[in-house]
Amino acid sequence: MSALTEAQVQRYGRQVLLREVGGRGQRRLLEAPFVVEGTGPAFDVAVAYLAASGSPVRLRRDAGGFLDGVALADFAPDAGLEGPPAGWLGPLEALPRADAAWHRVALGPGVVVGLSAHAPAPTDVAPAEADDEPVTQGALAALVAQRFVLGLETAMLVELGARGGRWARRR
Amino acid sequence: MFRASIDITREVCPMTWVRVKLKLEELSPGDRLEVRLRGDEPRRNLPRNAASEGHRVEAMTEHDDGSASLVIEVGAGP
Repeated sequence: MSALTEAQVQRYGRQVLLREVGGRGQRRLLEAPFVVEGTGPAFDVAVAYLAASGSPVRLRRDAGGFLDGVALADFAPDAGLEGPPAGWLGPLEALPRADAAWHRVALGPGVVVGLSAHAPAPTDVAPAEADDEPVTQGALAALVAQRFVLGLETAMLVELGARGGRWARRR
Repeated sequence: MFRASIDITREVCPMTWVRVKLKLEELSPGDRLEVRLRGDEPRRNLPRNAASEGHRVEAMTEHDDGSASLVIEVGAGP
């Protein structure tokens, strides 16, 4: 795992400050590509959160909404999102070719996140409920996906169990 | 025991702790990191941050030029 570059330290320093992230966690995020499928605001928010954390993001849909490949590349350069926002975007060459290498997880209505097979299989994760706000769904989808990459899935599932099995919202 | 050093006298919050935290992650438990710092913010926050993440503050030494040296013993982590 290579050290953070000076540009990455400047860009992601506030994430490094988080106890659960640190330098090692940030490097994991930078090296953990996600595939995100879906439509609508929840999808847009999930992609924005994942890309902003520095992870390479591969989109699977005809992008629209507020997501724009150029805009994303501007605020999340390490996400590798460039060019016209249509179809598959992101650093395709950097990703495994076989879909079998990904865990596909429905993390909310309209959001499916593919986690690298290097992460633990998130078989026990319950998706957000349809009546959650789309922004909540998308943000939590990204949060759950990032926790698997950071190796925090056990703590997350314990926390979920204490809330009755839901990983989603607080009223 | 390995002893490393870092100079953050030209950094401002929050990069003061970012730099120190990244350096601490490169070291092993029991190693020492000497941090050269300047200003009230790092004097106040670095010892607290280091302790909260499982490290031990060994000493703080003031220098004539207004800077200070903080020695941290690397812990096993939070």
